[in-house]
Formats: sequence, structure tokens, C-alpha cells
Amino acid sequence: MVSVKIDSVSKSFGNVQALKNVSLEIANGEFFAILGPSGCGKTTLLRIIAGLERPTKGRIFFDETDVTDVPAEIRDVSMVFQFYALYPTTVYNNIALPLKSRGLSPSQVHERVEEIAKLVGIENILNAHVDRISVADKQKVALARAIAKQPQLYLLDEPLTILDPVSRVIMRAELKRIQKELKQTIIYVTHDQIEALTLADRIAVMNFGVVEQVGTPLQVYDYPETVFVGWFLGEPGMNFIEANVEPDVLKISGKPVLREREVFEDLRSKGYERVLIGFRAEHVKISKTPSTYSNGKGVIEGVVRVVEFMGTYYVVDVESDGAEFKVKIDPRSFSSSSIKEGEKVWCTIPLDKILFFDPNNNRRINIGGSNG
Amino acid sequence: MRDYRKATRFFKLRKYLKLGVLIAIVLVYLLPIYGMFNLAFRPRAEMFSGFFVLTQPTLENFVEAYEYGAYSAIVNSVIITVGGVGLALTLSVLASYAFSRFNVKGKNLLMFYILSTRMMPPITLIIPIFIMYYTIGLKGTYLGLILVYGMMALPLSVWMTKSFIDDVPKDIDEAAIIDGHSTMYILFKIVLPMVAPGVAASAAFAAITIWNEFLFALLLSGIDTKPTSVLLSSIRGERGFNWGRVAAIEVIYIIPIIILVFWLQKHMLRGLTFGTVRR
Amino acid sequence: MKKALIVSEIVKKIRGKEVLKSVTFEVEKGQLLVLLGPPGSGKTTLLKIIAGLEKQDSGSIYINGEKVDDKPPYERKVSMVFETLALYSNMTVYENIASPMIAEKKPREIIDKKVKEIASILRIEHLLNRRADKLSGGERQRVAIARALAKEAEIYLLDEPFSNLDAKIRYALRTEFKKLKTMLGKTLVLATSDPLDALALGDIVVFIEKGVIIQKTQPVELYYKPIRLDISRYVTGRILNEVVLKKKTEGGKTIITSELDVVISESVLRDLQDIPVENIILTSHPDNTMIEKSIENCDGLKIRGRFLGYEYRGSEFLVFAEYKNHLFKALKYEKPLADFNEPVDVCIKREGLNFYDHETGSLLR
Repeated sequence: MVSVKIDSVSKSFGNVQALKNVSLEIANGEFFAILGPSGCGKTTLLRIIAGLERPTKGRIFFDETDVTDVPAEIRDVSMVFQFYALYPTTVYNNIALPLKSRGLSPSQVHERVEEIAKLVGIENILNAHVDRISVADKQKVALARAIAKQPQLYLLDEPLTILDPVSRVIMRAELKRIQKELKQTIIYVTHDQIEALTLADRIAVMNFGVVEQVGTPLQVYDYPETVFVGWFLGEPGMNFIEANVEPDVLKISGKPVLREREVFEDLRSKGYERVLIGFRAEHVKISKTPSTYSNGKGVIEGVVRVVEFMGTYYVVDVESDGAEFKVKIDPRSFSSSSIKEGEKVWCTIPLDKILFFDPNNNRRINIGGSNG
Repeated sequence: MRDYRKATRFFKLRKYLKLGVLIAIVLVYLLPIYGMFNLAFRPRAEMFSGFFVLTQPTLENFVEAYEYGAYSAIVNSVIITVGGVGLALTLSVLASYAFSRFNVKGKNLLMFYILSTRMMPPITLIIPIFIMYYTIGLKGTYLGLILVYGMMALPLSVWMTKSFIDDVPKDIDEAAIIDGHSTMYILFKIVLPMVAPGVAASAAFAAITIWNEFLFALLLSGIDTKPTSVLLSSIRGERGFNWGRVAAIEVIYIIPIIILVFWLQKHMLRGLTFGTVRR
Repeated sequence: MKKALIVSEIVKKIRGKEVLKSVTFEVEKGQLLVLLGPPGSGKTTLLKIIAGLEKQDSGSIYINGEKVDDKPPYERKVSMVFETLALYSNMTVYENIASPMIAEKKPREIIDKKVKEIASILRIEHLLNRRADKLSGGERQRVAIARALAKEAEIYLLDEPFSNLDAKIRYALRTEFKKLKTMLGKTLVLATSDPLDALALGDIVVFIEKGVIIQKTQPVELYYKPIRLDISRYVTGRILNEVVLKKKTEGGKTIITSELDVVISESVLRDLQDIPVENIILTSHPDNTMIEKSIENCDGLKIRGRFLGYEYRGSEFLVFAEYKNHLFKALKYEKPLADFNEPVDVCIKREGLNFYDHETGSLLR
């Protein structure tokens, strides 16, 4: 168990800057996720923490000790990769090897292997050869081997990506359970936001080598600090539309859509006459009956462009005078409203579900008091 | 609070030790080459002064090399090598593509046959070829040696190039077929550019083989077409063996190849390992 | 009106194994047909046969009413996006898109105009001068689609066009693609192993497994009432809830048993009366299932299990409960309050229940 501090780390590969001044603090025993799209630098950051790469600038600390110059082999870190690399032997031997090299007696090794296998859930296949077990089980063996090493820190790099959807769901639950039992610090890199939201105590959302936000799953989902975070989290991501703020009304493409006084005055006093409004697809109520905006209730009139059936929900893509946004509807509501492509619709969004962003730097604007 | 210092120091020590061993091995290989360069710049007087001594570097050996005919021999080497490589490349590109993409009957047999020609000791072929050449009138010509060397370099070229072409997914060909392109267009405008590094690597290997070859050169070249490998051998048996002059010729001989390998080393490394990791 | 594509009894053997067994279906003009099936079901082979890149052992392909079996790929008027994208990596994006038109020997000005047009539709104009091997995953996908569109064809074939992409980009590209489809009005056949592609994009979905077509229907139908249990499992991504029941008739009375200690409501018992089979599997989607600490009135199947956890999806929660090693899932819109291992009630509502024959896997009601 260890706390990790990443202090102003930058990393360049030739002309390409993979990491730009990244600073993070991960607490003891925390399940910390680093979330971001491919190429955002998350794997590079993980490798720097592991010691497989050296930062161009900045330092890494384990429990206040500077480990930047310590070689990877000495850092006492276990890494589980996307593509498990198992020894071509039985499951038992794979787990036993790190234990044997620590000098444990055969009976001690046996005891530990059984213990770890049980924790991970592979006690039934200990005697099987790794070539014969399923992909999910292979990842479990990789995990077990990492645990056997008894490191002070676990680094997981997209370990579930190669699993089929079923196994992935089950493995996620298992990982969470194992982490709770182990009480270890885990840094988990992924591009799957559901994975991060489900597993992590805290998430760092990265894009293009920069950390955009660090927070609990709830924080990053409900109160994104930047447009990117709002868009990246959630399926579909947050909608963003350009709007003009007038003293008591909000206008999109010149048409008024929401009436309010306090909030808009606050925005205008801060110098924002143009903003980006952000709202989530699941907070929009869509209907074929006309309605008008009012105080605290925004209404956008538009046309349905695309309807996508996703099984557990529908996503409707609406266009309104050049502005586009998505609406998420559960199957029951969809059937009762029977929306079709090309139809005119009225979309209602309550003010308390709308966030405001600065269109120049894409950062969220704090409205005095509310909105976290 | 952990202390990593001791472990780190021990670890670094091991690393430097390994480095030291590697450097030593490389030095052993480089030593003769250094010796050769050193000799090439030595005046007659200093010839036996000691291995590392070089107080009066001179170019007189290179001048003597010229008078001996070394430069025309180098030119011959270049002509023969470029010709041989060119012939091998042209044929191997066409053959490799066909082997890789088309289902020719007896393909495996044919490929093995091509490879097997390299398995025979060249010395067994020298007499029939010599007689053939003499009869046809190819003895002593550039063309004669180019033909032989082209055939010598062909097998490895075909195998290497085919492997590189195999690595280009067939989907690319198929996409081009759907686009409507002809087979020649696909080979030369689409596939070949993609395997260019691999082809360059096989060309480099072929060049090295031909540049160094002695036996066929000795027996099939004439006075005007004699390449450097033959020239160097004839330096013996002369009165007063001139080490400096020999070294100078060797230096000139080795430089083009060093340049070639340095230029293409990245691709050649890939070429050497192409069969080892199967996807 | 002539059908855009008719696939008639196509059979194909590869190395002695039957990869396609008498595959037959039709596509109307302007329709998007999704060929859905697990990897290895023969989808790619089928697309290649339609394109003319491979030859079938028997059966015929008709494009626009014309039999094309003897025609080489170029004469069939098909365009294709390959699973591996097969971009010409040493050429620029411009040259890739222009490729079909270069082969047709079209004049330079026309090529230039069309390339820019297509690039603008797919929002890759800014990439035209970049080499194809210096693009991101999503960008490469767009270029592959652009190149396919640059060729004027009757049928566009797409082989797993969205695989190998980050989830976010895949979703975005899918929506864009659907918009494109409506805008361009072309006939498309899309092969995929991702059920979401089928649900979100298809006008018609054909489910193929091991070279055999199992069902041809619309997405919604495929999701809610697939004719076979394994299709149901596949399409829902295994988040289906399943309960196995045994039905016995003894002395005029029907007895239902289950190893899961299920409490069955009256209405469901009545439904079960008419089922002629002994071994029945009941399935339900998570949106028709509830998992709570205590459920009083359950019109359906009620099981007492233990809380296992949940998946936080941002706008909803997928809740898990377990009983006797069976996993149950329910969709909730607020955060679940139960603790790990706490006893909970699982209610699988009658609404949305499908009854399958356990032996054959076929749908009963």
C-alpha cells in the first residue's frame, strides 16, 4: 500500500509532447482511474509511474520518497497489461513462480497460491495449462500473478479490453471485490468510461496529455469542469450548444428558449454574453406536442434527424436551426410517444440540469452558489 | 518509508557491467578494421613500427593503389554489383508477388527449388558455367558476371521479398481490385511502395554477397572486368609485399559497403528477423 | 421494382468445411441490411462473394436484377469497406479517395471536385494531404468510407466498419453514418458482430450463425422477440435474465418447479398452462426487471437473492443480484441503496417475458 504523487510530469517523444505538466495525488489504498481516449497519454503516464519510461520533466513520489531515478525492477510495482503474458505452464506454476523466487518454502508457496487463487476465483483451474483456459481466466491468472508478487502498488492498463462483454461485466465486479479485500492502491488506466465510473474511487480524465479534471465518479459525471469531460463521460456524451445570454432570456440561433433572471444576470456581470450550454441527453424530455419555454424551463424546437435503437434505450438526434443535440429515451416512453425521423419535436430541459461553459476556453462557469 | 538507494546502486552496477562486456566484444570486432585503416595511412618507413603507431600519416599508399589499378577494379565491382542486384531485384519482385498472391500449382515446390539452388556449393557449378561462358563468349564480360550474380542473389531476394509482401494484407489488393486497378498497377503503385524498406534490405544483402564474391569473379572475369576481390588476391606473389598498398585498397573496398549498411541498417535489421515472429 | 440485391442459395466450402449453407436473402433499393452474427459465422466470406472477390460453390448473386456470377469484381458495381480498412498507407488521403476514379480514368477536374465533396461530407477535408498511415482510428475509418463512396456503385458493402474504435468514437461515427445513409439514399449491406450496430442502424437485420441464416427481421423485433434463445442472448449482450422451469402435469393438475425457488404470480401461471413443453426457459430484459430490498407485489417471477453490486453508467445503473450462482440484472435510474451481500428481492415482470423451449431454444410465446 502506498500513496503516489505525480509532480509536474511532462514527457516528450521527439517532437511529440505526450504529457504536459501532469500533477496528481493518489491516496493510500485508493482505486484510482486514469480515463481518456486513445492517445491521450494515459499509458505513457502509467509507464512513467512504473519506471518503464523516464519523465522529461517532473518527479514521481511513492510515500514522499522520490523514486524518479529508481529503476522499474526495484520499485516493487505489479503491472497487469491489456495482453496478459503468461508462462507456458499450468496456472499453479504461473502464480507460484514469483513466490518461489522470494524464497518461500514449498508448503508456504502452496498455501499462498491457494489463497490467491481463491481470492481471484480460479481455484478450480489451478492444474490446467494456461493454453486451455478462457481469455477471462487468463486475465485472472495475470492478476493472480501480480498479487503473488505482493507489490506496494498495482498498475492496470486496460486489462479488460480484450474480454467479451459478458466476461467484462463479471470481471469488473470481481476486480472491485478483490480491491476491497486486498486494500491496496490500484491505478487503473482505461478508455471505457463506464469502467471508470463503476470501479474508481476517483477518476482523472485526460485528453492530449493534459489532466482535465480529477474527481469522484459523481463529480466528473454531474459537474464536468470542461467541455471535453462533459462530452467524454456518459453515453451519449453531454450536449453542447452555443447560446446568447440576454438580461432575462437565453437565445439559441436567435430564438429564445429559456427565461430566467438571476443566473443570466450573474453570467452577464461576469462578462459572458455568449456561452456554451451543456446538458445531458437523459435530462431532456421530448414530445410531439408543442410547448413554450418559461421561467426555469427551457424548450427547444427542432426536427428529428436520426433515431437509434440501443436496446435498453433510444437515442434521438435532434436538429434545431443548425444546432444539434441528442436525447436519451427509455424504451417505454419511446413507444408511447412514437417519434419518427423527420418529425417536429419540442424538447424540455429544466434550468437546474443546465451547465454553462465559457466558449473561449471550454471551461465550466461557476454560477454563484449552485452547480457544485 | 522505503530506501531504494542500496538496491538502485546494486542494480546500476549490474547494468554497467553488462555494458562493459558488450563494449569489449565490439572492440574485438573493430580492432582489425582499425588496424587496416591505420596501415593504409602509414608510410613505408613506419610499416613495422607497432600496432597503434601513426606519427606520419601519408596518402602515398592510395596513390600506389591507383597505379596498381585499384580504382578501375572498384568501378568494376560497382558495375557488377549494381547489375547483379538490379537483375535479382527485378526478377524477385515479380516472382515474390506472384508467389504471395497467386495460387500457382506446385507453388511450394517451385519456391523450394529456388531456395535449393543456393544450397549447392558454388564450386560444383563453376566448371560447367565456365565452359558455357567460354563457348558463348560471355567469359570476361560484365554481363556474364551480372547474370551469375543475379541468379545467386535471387533465392534470398525472393524469399525475403515474398515474406514482406505476405505481410501486406491481401485486403489491400482486394480494395484495389474493387477500385478497378490492373494487377501491374497494384503491384508497382500500391504494394511495392509499401514493402520498399524490405526490398531495400534484400537489395543490401544481395549487394554485400556480390561485392565480396571471389570464386566466380576469379574465373569468369577478364583483365578489364576484374573486380576488387580478384585484384586483391593477385597482389600476392609480387616482389616486396606492400602492406600499406594492400591496406589502402582494402580501405577503398570497404567504404562503399560501410556507407550502404549504415544507410540501410534499420531496414536490414528488420530483414534479418523477418521469419522469427509469426503473427 | 427490381430488388437491389438478391442472394440466392449461396453455398461455400473452405478447406472442406461448409462456411455458408444455402444463404438466401434480398435487399430493397435504399435499404440498410445488417448482417449480424458472431465472429466466424461467414459474414466476411459472404460479402466477398457478393463483391466477386471469392467464388461461391453454388447459388447466384443478382445485382439490380442482373445475374453477376460470371462477372469480375469491377463489373459488378459494388463498393466495399473492409474490416481491416485496407487503406493505401503510403498514399495521401486524397489519393486514397481518388483511387477508384483514377482507375476509371476520369478527368482530373472531376476527380478533384468529387474528392473534395466526399471529404467534406465525412469531415476530413483538413486531412486530404496527410499520409494515410498518419491518421487516428476514427479518421482512418472515415477515409475508408470516403473511398468506398467515391466509387459509384449499386451496392455498398461494409465489413465491421466500426470495430477497433474507442467506444466514444464508435458511437459518434455510427450516428453520423446513419445520417449519411438517409442523405445519400444508397443500398447498403453491413456485416457486424456488434448487436448495437444492428439495433441502431439496420432497417432489416439478418442473423447468421455458422453459415446459416437464422432470422430476418427488424431491429426492435430482434431485440424483444427473437425466435431463438441464443440469438436473444447474443443480441442483448448477455444481460438477459433467465429462469429455468419444469412443468409437469399430474392428475389433471399442473405443477411448476424450479431450482431457483421462484414465486410465480397467477398471471404467469396462466400463461404457462398453454405451454406444451416440459422444460421451459423464461427470459426478460433488465428494463423489465426490478431488484430492491423488498418488493411487495410482483406480477411475474419473484426470487430472493443477494446484492452483488452495480455498474454505474452515468444516467442509469445496471444492478446485479445473485442466487444459486445465477446472475440477475435490473436497470435502475437511481443509485441502489443495498449493500454487498444484503438480501434483496428480484422481480422479473410478466411484461416482456419470453418463453423458450429449453431443449430446442425456440420461442414459444
